[in-house]
Amino acid sequence: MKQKNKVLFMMGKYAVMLWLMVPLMSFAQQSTIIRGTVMDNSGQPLAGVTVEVVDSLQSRRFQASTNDKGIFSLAGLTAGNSYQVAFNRIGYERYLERNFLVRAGDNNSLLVRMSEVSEKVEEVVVVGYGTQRRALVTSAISKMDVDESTMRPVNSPAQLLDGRIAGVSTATGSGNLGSGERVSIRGISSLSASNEPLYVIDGVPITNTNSNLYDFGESMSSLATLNIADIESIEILKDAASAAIYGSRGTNGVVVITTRSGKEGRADIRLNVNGGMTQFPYLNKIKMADSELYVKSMNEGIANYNEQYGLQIGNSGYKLPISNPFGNLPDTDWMDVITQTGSFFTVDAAVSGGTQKMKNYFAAAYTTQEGVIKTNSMDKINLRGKMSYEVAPWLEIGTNNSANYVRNNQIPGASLGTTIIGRSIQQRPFDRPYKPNGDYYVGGTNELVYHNPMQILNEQTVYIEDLRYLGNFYTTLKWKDKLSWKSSFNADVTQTYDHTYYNENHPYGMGVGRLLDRNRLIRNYLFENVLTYNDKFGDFSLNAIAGHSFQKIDTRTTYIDARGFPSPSFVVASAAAETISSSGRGIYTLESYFGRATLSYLDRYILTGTLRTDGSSRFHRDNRWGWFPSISAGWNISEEEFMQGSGTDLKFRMSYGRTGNQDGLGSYVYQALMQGGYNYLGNSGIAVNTFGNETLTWEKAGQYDVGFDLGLLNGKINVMVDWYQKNTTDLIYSMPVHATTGVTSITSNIGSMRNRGAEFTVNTHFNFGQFQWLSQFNIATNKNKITALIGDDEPISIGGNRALQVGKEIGAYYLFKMEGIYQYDGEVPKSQYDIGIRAGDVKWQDVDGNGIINDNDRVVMGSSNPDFSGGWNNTFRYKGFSLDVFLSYVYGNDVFAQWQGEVARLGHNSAVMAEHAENRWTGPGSTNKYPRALNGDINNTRNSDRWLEDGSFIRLRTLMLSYNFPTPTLNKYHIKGLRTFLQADNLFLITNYPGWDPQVSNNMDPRFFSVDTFNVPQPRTFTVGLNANF
Amino acid sequence: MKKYFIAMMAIVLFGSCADQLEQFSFSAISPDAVDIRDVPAVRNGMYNSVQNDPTVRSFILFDMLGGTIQTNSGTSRDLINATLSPLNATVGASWNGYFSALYQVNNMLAVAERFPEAELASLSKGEAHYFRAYIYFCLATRWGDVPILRNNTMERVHRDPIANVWAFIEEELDAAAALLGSSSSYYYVSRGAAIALKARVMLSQGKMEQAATLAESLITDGAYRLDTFERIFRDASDTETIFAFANRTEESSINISDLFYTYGHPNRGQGAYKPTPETIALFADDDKRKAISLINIAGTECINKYPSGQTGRDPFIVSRIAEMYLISAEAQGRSLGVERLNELRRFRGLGDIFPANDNEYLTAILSERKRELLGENFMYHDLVRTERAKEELQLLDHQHVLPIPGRELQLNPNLVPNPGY
Repeated sequence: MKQKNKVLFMMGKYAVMLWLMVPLMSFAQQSTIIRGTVMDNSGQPLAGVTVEVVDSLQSRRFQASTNDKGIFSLAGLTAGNSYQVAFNRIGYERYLERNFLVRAGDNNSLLVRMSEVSEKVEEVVVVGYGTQRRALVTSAISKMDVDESTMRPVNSPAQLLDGRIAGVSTATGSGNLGSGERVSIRGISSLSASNEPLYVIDGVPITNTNSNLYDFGESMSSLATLNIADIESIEILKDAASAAIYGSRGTNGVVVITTRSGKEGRADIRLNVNGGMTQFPYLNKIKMADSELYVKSMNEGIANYNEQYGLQIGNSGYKLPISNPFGNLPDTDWMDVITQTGSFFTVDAAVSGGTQKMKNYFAAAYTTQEGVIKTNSMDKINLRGKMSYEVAPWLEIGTNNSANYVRNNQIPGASLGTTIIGRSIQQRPFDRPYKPNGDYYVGGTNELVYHNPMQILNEQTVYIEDLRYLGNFYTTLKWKDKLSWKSSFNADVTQTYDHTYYNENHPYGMGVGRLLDRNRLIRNYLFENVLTYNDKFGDFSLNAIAGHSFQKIDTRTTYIDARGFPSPSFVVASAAAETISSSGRGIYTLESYFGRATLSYLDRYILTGTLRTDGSSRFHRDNRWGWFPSISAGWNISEEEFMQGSGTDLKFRMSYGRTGNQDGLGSYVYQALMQGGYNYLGNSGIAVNTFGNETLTWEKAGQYDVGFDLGLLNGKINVMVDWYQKNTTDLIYSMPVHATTGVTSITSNIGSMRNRGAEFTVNTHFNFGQFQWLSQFNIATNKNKITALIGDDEPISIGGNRALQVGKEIGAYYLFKMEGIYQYDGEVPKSQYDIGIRAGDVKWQDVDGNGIINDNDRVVMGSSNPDFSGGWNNTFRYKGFSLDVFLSYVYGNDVFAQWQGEVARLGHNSAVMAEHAENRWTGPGSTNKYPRALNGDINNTRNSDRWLEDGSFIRLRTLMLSYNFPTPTLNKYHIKGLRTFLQADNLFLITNYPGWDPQVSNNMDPRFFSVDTFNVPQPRTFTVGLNANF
Repeated sequence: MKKYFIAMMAIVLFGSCADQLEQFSFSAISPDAVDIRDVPAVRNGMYNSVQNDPTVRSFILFDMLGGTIQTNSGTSRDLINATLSPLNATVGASWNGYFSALYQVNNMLAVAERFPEAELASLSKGEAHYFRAYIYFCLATRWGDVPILRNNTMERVHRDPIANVWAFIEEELDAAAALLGSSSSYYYVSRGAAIALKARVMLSQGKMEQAATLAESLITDGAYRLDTFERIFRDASDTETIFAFANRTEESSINISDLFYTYGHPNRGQGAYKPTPETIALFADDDKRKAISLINIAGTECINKYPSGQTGRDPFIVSRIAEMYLISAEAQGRSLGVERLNELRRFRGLGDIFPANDNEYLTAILSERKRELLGENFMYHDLVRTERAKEELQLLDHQHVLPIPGRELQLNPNLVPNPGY
């Protein structure tokens, strides 16, 4: 090994010189030439094969490589001698032509076929600041290769992970284009600090902030700007031993995304084209009452009210019954009014290639999409250029640049006043969007209960434009093959423009037009130096890194609120009658030192230690620096002599490490601030708006992991099992304080929690002649528990329907519990009877037994966290055909279907669900589940277990049929590979959940996760596509 | 070349970045850094906070609870029942907001004490005492016993008896009146504002004589005169207003108009509340207040006192001279006070009345208050203090004060909840 390294090094150094001397020598030595062609097994010429001959007499080495036609010529050899000719190429088995006798003249020719390395390619895993052979990995790292078979039509790389990796669960805010996502790795580790993993793309820790500058009712993914086709693999650093190298940001795990690069000795052109359509799925699941039923239940509610308060016609407060003002005209299908069949088209192309010295990759992609709600659309353009150049054996320089553009025409999300589904499905069934003369019916009046959804969509122009540059420049200095020093400058620069324009006809247009014009520039610069050292000492091998990094994130914003436009054609603030503007700036810096050493003995016993320290500007000088060590050990049992030749691969791993968290905090969170902008009558004012907390420091997590990797039957079956426990301490929490202090919360380090879980993944790979079956099944379970919190163990109410309580999970609900329906007035406690509760109303559990139903009667119950979740993929291949069936599943989570409360209000002037209207209480004994109709009810639609639903599901995530055209046919047209496919995404969903999709949520914070407020479900997608390689 | 390169990289590597870890806000200073020149800015911050922190519904809460307005789908009684809950968002936001505003007021006092020689120091102190009284009046009339905080504190405080709270309010208003004179505009606190608020405070406590004296002192002072609603509520300079929050669009989040106008109005609004039929019936056609008080938008009667619609803001009047007429009339009693009542009625285009007994007189006063002060945050307290709430609003006994927010009770076990909630 050592010898070889030396030779390689020498070879590199003199390669240029050698090439120059070749023609010279051939004359001087009367030497001769070998010519030849190298092909692969299918007869395709192979470029970039290194052909090497060692002339032991001259103690010289001759080398050549094949050109793109597979032809090489090797000069300088002495006629009459026999040589050993070696052929080497990455990805192919080494080929040796022994005792090749070279004759004088130039008719020495060789025809060589090389076969691809098929079995047991040593998998290389990307770890923090480098790569490692899988055999040396002692921590829990999962890898997802992104290729044609795992590709899905999604906006962001995070969504690709859905169901693919044990312990990684994903969800999106909604099915709207570019909607924000949540990725959870091994449960929930934080409270107020971010719970999202750190994303590292080609070594750059990126910023992942909401793309929305004006909250349009849901968060938007900043990852949606990226080109998914560029991604080669996604590694998930799950345990602390792998994530601790990212120190203060590793607690929630790290998602390492590696993009494609040029490969040595190849020239590839890739072209992918696909398109398809999307649908609003399971639309008929929620059935609303028709006009007849609606009017009937409404009038019953009014009659109940009048009766209850003894009101007669003419009395003050008497309520009049309603009737359908449109008589026998058909009802409006409000969901049909706003939905459409979406479509999309994507084309991406890449040219890549490389030699030993220079590798490059250029790619471009264009995507256009239309969503399932009218006017929702998105366009995306991505460009990438990647290049590395070995200037000298000791010096390599390189760069990786990507420019991304996305324009997302948004529709209102579920938490905005114009929430599009809420403003459609909740309209009374007889109402309609347009008057006979084509004008809108205006919402919020007697004509129409809620905002007119078509007026909302048609009279707004709302889009986000993101321009994102992501790239780096680096220089690597190398000393032999042992030591290298990489110095890099990385940048992630995002310019976001958020345009929200309500023209004069929009409900929010104030009759004169309003523009919210917002700009944000985020400059995230990272300067990094890493020393890498590799060496061998006898049977020991050492791999070590040490580094320093400095990161600065500088955010600038400009917000303009402009009102009063001459007409809807004027769309910039300078045309407005009145403008209010503000601007902001914030800087956050992080300085770090880190190191890692991996020591292995014959690949059998492996020990890895890491240490990182981070200093963050978010903390006071005295509490600024955090230390994050980890240690892990592995035992490759199969490398032991007694296991040799057993066809079994077995590795045992264990690790412990500490990680931190400080993301999601304000830049100046520790400082007490007297903030500007508290103006009065045009004079500038200042006021204390935060008390700060100088003792605030890192949130820390210590994680144990024990696991093993098992390969059976020579790799036909691979199993990966992990157990872990993660204890988070010093939880950063926006601790609620009593308001008499002047504030309602102080960001503090309080409490601790624990996540415990297990993960199991099995891959199988079987060949039955021409028929191949590959499958991957994964399952993970995680149990979260708050182990300490401020003061006592009483539940702390947060939001409208959650609580934090020691011993319970983050994400536990805090709801009233239904005990049935009062069947007779006599059952109603007096204090409730006094405020209007009667027979037919819901009986809530009166926890404190005082007859009054209030705050104290809520019960901590359920959880938005699943018991277990995972995915199961099966691939069947026969000749060129391939069928992929991918299921994802979640079991045991509860979803708060808040939307049900909105459509269960019988006797309220908005639409009701048929189920609630049909089954309503009408008299003693009629039902113990559905309350009576009552106009002005304040009791029956409380945030309660009435709306808490089982969110378990099995989803046919993707079904894909593809065909690879046979290579010999393609070769005639100089095509390396051609594949066509048909894919269906979200084809079916098996669930008890009564809504459209249990996997969407109006809030991505794990404390408030899994609340469905009529969020647009993930669409059903049909794709047809073509992948070609030239 | 190689050496040069390494040297260059070493220089870049070891370049210092430690001081880069000290980052400070671009839009704020440390409270310790406040100096004598910052006193005017702290003062503006106080005005802004007292205006904004209590949140919008605090400014119409006594209408929401006073039976004058209702939601689109329920009656005024439904609105009262829905609001009077420890979980109610408005109740919680009001409590938090008044104490948040109080924090800034106490801070203003502390800063003014620190820099007594500063420009505006004494004026700011006077204003701060007024605001403390105003905040405590709002707190006492909502929750009854409340903790008196003369200084900001992190402690878990106890509730003080309401009598002590009233005494504290009076003390604060006297301190304010001693420091204040006339103000540059009615958007700033003046001595008149302190007297007007004290008149109201006395009336609330049933100290009729003092209430009448204070009210009369302003009526007869001549600085404030009755003016038309067109001027008072359309942001024209009027002679009636004693003190109002300016509520400039760019400085305020108190958007009352949005809660009253519907989307049918050209200025738009979410139309959360509309006047009850009984309230609408109070306005005779020749009442000069009618057109500004009510507007019919596409068939729905809406409150019209705050005209700017969904994205604008309107001033919120804290005290105006008409209230002094009504206080004087009520406090002086039927025989002496009826002339002040009729004076106001005549100015508003109505004829004189002569109620037959004290009970009818009080009814007449309260009706006049409904007409005059609709949407100005009076009704609930008026009915509670005159003990008419139970009968007129069908309030349950415990509903005569607001519930202490559930969150606050949970975080501060020293607070005793109001019974019944």
